[in-house]
Amino acid sequence: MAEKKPLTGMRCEEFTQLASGGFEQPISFRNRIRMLWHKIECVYCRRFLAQLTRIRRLLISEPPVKAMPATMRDKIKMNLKD
Amino acid sequence: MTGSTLLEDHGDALYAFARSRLDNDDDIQDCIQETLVAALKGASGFAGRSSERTWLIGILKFKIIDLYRARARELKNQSTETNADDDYFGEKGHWEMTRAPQAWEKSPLEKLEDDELRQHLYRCIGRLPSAARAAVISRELDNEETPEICKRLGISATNLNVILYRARMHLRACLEAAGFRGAAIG
Repeated sequence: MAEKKPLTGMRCEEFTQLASGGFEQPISFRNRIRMLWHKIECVYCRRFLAQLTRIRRLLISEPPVKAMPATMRDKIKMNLKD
Repeated sequence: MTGSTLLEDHGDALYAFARSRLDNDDDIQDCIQETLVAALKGASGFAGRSSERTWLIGILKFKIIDLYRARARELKNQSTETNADDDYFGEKGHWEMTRAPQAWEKSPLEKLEDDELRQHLYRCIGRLPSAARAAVISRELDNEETPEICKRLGISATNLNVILYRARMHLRACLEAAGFRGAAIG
């Protein structure tokens, strides 16, 4: 049986890996507690998680419709005629 | 239905969709053009169950996937590294102070309009290697599930997690490198 990691003393590298993986699959209860503990003591990992969440939220949201450049539109129009 | 009318009616929407997934104008133009050609050829198959724009975006999505597939060799030959210079952590596994996340809260980031930040993000995504770019786009923009992405990219779930992790680290750092830095207090 694998040895359980202590609840305290998590490394930032592990925190970031678990945080990123948490977007793909659920994080175990024990790791959530370990992350919570680490978050309390590490300002950089708190920032990391907040920034990652913001980036994801932004990417998921619909981008505003930007106009197609006129040159591209003309080229496509011309090619469609061929 | 003609190519010109489709282009007039939906060109901007197709462009916006492709712009967020492809990093150069030639690829964008090719994909949109192929989409319109495919739409004209298959116009009779358009049952009207969805809007014309949704139908076109659906075709465009597959054209973009085709492009990723065409670059499959590049994907297979790439390691999961996004950047050789990605030593974010020191020997003890904690943040290197020079690369640790800065506070964004008091930075201009908060004041920026979301679409401006989004443009920076797209540029940062464009700088990712193809494997990472395809993974991020499929996961974050298209909200695809892990098995679907793994099947398309021909990688394992573990490999995908590593690619996404490194890509996210890169994107966050890329935004900071682009000037999104704030006070060091958080």
